[in-house]
Amino acid sequence: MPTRSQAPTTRPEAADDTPVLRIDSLNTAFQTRFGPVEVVNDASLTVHAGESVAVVGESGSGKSVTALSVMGLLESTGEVTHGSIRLRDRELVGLSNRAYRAVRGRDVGMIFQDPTTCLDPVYTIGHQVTQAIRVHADRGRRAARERAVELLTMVGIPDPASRMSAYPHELSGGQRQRVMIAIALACGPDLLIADEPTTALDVTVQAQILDLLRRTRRELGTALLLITHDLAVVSEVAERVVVMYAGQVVEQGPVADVLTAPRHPYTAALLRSVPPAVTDRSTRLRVIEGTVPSPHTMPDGCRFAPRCAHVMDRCVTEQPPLVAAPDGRDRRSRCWLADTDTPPAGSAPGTRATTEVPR
Amino acid sequence: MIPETAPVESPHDAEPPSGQPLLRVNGLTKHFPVRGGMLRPLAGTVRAVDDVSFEVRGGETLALVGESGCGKSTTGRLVLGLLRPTGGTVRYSGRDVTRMRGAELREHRRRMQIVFQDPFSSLDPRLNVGGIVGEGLAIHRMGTPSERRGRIAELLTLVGLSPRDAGRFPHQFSGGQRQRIGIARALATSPEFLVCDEPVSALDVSIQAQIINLLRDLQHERGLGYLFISHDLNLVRHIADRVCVMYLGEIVESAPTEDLFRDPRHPYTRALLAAVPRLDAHSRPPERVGLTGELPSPANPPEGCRFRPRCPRAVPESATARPALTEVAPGHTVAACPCFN
Repeated sequence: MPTRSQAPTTRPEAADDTPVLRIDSLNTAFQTRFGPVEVVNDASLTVHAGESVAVVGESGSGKSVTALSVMGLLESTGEVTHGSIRLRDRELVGLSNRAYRAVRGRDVGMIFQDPTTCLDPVYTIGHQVTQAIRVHADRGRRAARERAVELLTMVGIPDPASRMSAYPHELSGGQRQRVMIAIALACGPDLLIADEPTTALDVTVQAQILDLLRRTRRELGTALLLITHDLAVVSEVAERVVVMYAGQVVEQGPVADVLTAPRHPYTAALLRSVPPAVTDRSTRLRVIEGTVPSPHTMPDGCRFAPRCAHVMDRCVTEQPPLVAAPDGRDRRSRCWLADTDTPPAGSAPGTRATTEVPR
Repeated sequence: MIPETAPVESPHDAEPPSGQPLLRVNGLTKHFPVRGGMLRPLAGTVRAVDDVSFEVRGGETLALVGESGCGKSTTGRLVLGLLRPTGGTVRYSGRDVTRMRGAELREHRRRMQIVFQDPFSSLDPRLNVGGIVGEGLAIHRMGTPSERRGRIAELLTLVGLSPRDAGRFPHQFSGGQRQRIGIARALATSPEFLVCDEPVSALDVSIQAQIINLLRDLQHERGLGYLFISHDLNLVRHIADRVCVMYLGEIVESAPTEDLFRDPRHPYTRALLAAVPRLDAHSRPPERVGLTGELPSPANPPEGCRFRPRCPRAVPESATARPALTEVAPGHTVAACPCFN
């Protein structure tokens, strides 16, 4: 595997303390027939160099739009209306399209859920990886090609030199996602954004891709911002987690803390609705009643209040801020309960029995 | 490990939840021809389902699990009589589905229905909910129009919607609500058996739990048999009585759910279980990825044990003969590959 020093671009040393990505009270809105709709509201998060952060939420939580806002890939009707997105020291909000093109691919790589639609069906994968290198790095055709083979080897494409001439349809879903990762890493970005990278894949292939993402981070030091709906995937890959609900960050903190002792009732309910890893057909699955509110009819107070089991009068009228937890660890939650010291009960997945798989 | 016993004909010795098998599938095989263009009219065959046998009793849930392309959905369609098998039989209440024609096949389809994976593409956007749910009633000429309206209202209430929803259209509903409509549609003709083809994999986790609970309640109330097709082992563990693991068109292991998860025997089953991401992964050392490579093409399956090219334990003898299903514990059968020894 190539080391960082062989990567084509030089970049600031990881030693400096500036986060790779810092999103501050971001609002993103889309123009619709019924007026502007705010899809992301007051979202803040940071990713430090080499760190792996997961954004988790259900559909409509705003997690993908947050990622697209960072990449400047919002549709023409979408716009960042408030807040700042800083990549190292550079403000990305308000950047021209031209300037953004230099950021995408070089400083930030991105992979998407569906590798089939992201690769161009009429070009060979060799051409596409080579192109990704040559757009940003001043390399000759031959050098770019060598680097492409190196990248394909790194992401685990068997027999990469001959696979260079294969077209996307000749590869399986997992292989295509590997090619996408190779393209995203082509210029040695500081940050890799992965939006549901394994959702379209089978579970055995998912395990391989998650392993590749872990390895990439360990060996290249690329920071990872992972967007997912799957809490187990978060547990497998991330160090810190940001939980989003209805466009807002409702909780964030170290994965081990958030998944074992959630402070926001939504996180707790989400954890409870995951089928436990025990064979017990007598118990019903715990559900979160109701559905995510539509952006047109957001509740005035806490956005989770209509579905919350711990709802109080105050929750319905006043929106809670995202506040740091009193225990001083790097945790925040958006809940009036955080004032009191009682975390929502009955949610520790650590107490679940697990099955050892003999091998 | 595997006792030297003859391949078993009927692997289901476990105590049935109730009565006789409602569905008995024997040696089911489906090959799809691959057309190669004008000069090569037949380029090969995809062996989508190859000699698959299982039984489901009334009130029982049998899960078919496996990766995409393993033949689990094709099996579901064969059972429904939506596809004609290349070989083997599907007997439902003692009658052979594969030989049914005309009125008899229509009656079979009334008694066995399907819930599809994608609640967005499986509901006709031009019909209102009443039309979608009532379509089966009209086709099977069940009741007068006013009786059908009453039945539609009843069904919508049953799945947790409101009778008023009958006049609305699918696009006005969320994914979870649409799946409820899909379930109401499937239940309209009072079937005894549902094929559930990945019924919740398109839904959010919190909504998945709602739909799974609904399916379970319906099973308890009506004694429905389910053929539950899924790739999600966590979910299967929660809903199935028995599990059949499929790989490249074959069943490689079949067992009561608890036995399968407690004591998986086939290397593929073990790899599949090991690959499931775990909520407590952050607190344990990262596991080695057990399985390399991906599912080979079913058009050209490996000789002998089909799992051999990806199997961490493969031995040369694995290539010689197709492993026969062997009973290793009551109700627990496994394709006994030579690599077990």
